[in-house]
Amino acid sequence: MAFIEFRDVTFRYSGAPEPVLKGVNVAIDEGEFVGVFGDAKSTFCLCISGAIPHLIAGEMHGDVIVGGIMTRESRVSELARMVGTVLQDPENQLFNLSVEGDVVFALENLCVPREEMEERLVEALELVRMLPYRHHVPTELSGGQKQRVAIASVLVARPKVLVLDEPVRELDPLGGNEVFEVLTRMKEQGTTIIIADNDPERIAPLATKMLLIEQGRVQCFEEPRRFYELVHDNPRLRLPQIVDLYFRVKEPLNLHNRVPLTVEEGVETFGR
Amino acid sequence: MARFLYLQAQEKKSFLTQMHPITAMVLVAAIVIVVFSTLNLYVYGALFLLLLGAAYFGKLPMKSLLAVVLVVAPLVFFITLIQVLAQTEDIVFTWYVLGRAITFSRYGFILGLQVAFRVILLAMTMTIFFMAVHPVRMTKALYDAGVNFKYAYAFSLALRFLPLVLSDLATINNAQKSRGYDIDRQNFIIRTFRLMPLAVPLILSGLRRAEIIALAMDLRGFCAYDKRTFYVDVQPSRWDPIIRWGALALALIFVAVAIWSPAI
Repeated sequence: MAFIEFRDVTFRYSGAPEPVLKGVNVAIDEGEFVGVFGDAKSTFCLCISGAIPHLIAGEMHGDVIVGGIMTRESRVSELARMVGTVLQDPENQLFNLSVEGDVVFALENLCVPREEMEERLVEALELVRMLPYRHHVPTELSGGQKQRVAIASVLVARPKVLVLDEPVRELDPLGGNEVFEVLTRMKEQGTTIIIADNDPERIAPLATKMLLIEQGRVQCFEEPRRFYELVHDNPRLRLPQIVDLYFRVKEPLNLHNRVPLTVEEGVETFGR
Repeated sequence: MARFLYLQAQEKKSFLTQMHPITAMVLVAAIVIVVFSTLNLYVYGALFLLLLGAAYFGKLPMKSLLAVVLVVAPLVFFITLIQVLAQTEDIVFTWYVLGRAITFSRYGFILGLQVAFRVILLAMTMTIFFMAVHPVRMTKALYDAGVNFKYAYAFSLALRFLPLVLSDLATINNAQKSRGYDIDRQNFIIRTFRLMPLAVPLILSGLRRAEIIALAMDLRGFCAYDKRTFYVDVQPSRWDPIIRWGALALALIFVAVAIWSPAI
């Protein structure tokens, strides 16, 4: 059985004429790194964290099951132990007066004993390389540092699933790289990661699967190379240059090797 | 962005910054009661020196404290001036300007000083309190005292987001300026009225921000259980009950004196 399962999920926001998710069926195994592209990315992420249907007004049909727990029947706070969610804007996710205050916030809410907090705080901050900033005020940090603290503040609860809703959208390239370094380490540790983003180039080298949702329906859910093969002509997807080049010259050069995901793989493909 | 005032104060540990927040609140309440129960300038002078001494030995940033006093200085000056000119008892001298008499009252001067001292003492007390008591420690102390965490946490949350709201206001103001709607070059009254249209986008962005914050907090299990644990530990010392009861007793003495011997 899959670790995260969407069973025929349809969701319509309160007041909206049309559902944003229409009969979505997706199964994600434990330890997978899934990139989500297209429409309703945030809605998809919020379904996993349980914010939908508990915190966001709307009409939901179907079930989302995370780690054997049906999100509809579980409280968001219970799911928070298993699912850590990082939202787009780092500024509004840090609501305490110090970095360490923000990181321990979830532990305090989940009644973790005080004696255990220090160890978990240091562990989470070390993972995102923010330990030297533990006494800083969040307003003193750069965008990338804030987002790393936001990630630490969910990792501290040791969730099995990390859901990130466009975590680098408001960051500069350096801040984005900092966040992806953290995600690479998280992936190596075996955390299940679901990330909504608009840039497949950043996600593909890390992803085990990539999901494209269009007009509320799953258009493609495959491992990255197969994903590109199936949807490379989709105008809404911004293909990495190396992938774009591959598909442009595939027929003229009669290429049959695998789709390159990185420049290094491209050199290997085209260099022969 | 300028560092929060209380953070400057918290950089140096002292008896004030380590004081139990409830004790600090009781002391503030006692000072407020004393200030309102007497008009005796000697008592005010003693309180003024006491507060200055506490701030100095409590290693609080004296410049910030003096800045607060300077902020209320114009208010204090005008209060005194109005009393001097408006009171009709104990006139020291009279000036005639364009046929109208302007009187200077000694009684008004004393009364003005008393009211001015009140304002200064209250401003100093509240400033010292907010500099010395870390909001996180206050949240914990209030929670221990039985206050619902949601309410205890509200102050800390407001402090965190106040700079962001001000930043939003500056952004909206700059956006309006770029369209020719400049409020900065107007007088105080026109500025106040011209701020109204800026309030609408500010409130809307504030509501949107509040929604996102609430979602982020819920996703981290905010108020998931009736009880919670705390990373900071705030415990009263054996001196705290003595200080609290002593301060309350002193305040009650002043109230009693004010009732039975109002002349003092």
